[in-house]
Amino acid sequence: MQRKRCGAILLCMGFLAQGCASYKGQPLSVARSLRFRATADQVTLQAEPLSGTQVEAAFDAKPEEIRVLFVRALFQNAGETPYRIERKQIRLVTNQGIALTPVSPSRVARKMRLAHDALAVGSVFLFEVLSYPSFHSANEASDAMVQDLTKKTFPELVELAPHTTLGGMLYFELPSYVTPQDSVRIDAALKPGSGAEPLILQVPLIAEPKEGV
Amino acid sequence: MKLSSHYVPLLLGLVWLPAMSGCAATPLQVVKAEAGVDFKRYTTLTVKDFQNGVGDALPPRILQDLPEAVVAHLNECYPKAFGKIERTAAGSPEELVIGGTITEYREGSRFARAMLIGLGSAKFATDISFLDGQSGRELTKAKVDLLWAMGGLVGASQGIEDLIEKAGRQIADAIAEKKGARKRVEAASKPLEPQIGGAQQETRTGKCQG
Repeated sequence: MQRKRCGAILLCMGFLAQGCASYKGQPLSVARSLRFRATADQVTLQAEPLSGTQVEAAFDAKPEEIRVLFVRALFQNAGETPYRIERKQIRLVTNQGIALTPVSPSRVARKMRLAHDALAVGSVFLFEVLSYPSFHSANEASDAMVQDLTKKTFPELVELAPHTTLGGMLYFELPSYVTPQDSVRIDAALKPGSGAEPLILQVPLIAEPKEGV
Repeated sequence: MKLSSHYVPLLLGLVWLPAMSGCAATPLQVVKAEAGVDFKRYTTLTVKDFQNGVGDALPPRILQDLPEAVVAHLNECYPKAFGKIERTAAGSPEELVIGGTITEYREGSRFARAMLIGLGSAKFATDISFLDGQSGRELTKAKVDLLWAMGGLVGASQGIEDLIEKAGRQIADAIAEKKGARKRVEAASKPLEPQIGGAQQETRTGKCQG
């Protein structure tokens, strides 16, 4: 009798743990206009950090827990020159002067999974083992996250053709000494098709005092 | 006092689990660089994506995960080591470029490690090259070779992703050492900490000591 009860409890805990590891990201609405912007040579970069509520809804994550700043970016080319945009050439510059490059969806997913698992302090076995039914690898739980994050991310390398608009998410991993109250700036270097000097766009982002990171 | 027979399996389990986690070996090789080379004159660091020397078994995302772990640790613990940390090389004279090839990758199995020591071990190894940004000359080479073969709960608690993170930290520490950079000293109390990260997350990300 006692053995059956123990078995049932373990099974329930296993299912509970599995539930915690699932991912419930929602689609992001298409942005036509964002709060902060800069224009040069008929190219406009608009950017806006997502609030904590928006991140929770779209990514099923708390940005303050995973220490990632989620920034929505939108490039508009109203001119005749095509530009090449490389995601690694976009930076978040902190007020300490540290330039952070965007991290990949896979790294964000890892941080999100760690935050989920952190719920299970003291019950590592349940969350790390029972929550992954194939018992193969913890990576499987984050596959859905990676796919969703990748779908929403700004492309790694893309051409911004004349009279087009391109947008997507950028993820910046914040060091512990960067606080939500810090003023930050987005710098983007766009390479013109002609091989001329890169076009630099700088957009200051003013963080909300309490919302998000 | 006589113990009820119902508690015997529980007690046996409690004895078995720590025993399983205790009898495992985890040899960690640190990054080794040639003597006499330092990176003091470089003000920009470029950490490129790594190459795949394993084949189909290596998920492509790992080629970015490792350099991102290096950059994250440098930003966290050595923010003043370099003026700029880039992910694509520019070919400038003040630039140190780091790249490499992942040579071994075995995910292993958390469950197998939890069940029996010696089963389901995870393995990760990579070669790293340190190059002069302008000439492309190889300044030094290094190797990280990590194995996670612990058994029991400890074995199950870490996976291949943790090995990659650890490899990233080792590479970052080696770069900082050659650069002569000091680790950031964390403040004893940080008033903003409760807002920007719970205690659990902080134990994973805010560590520059040790």
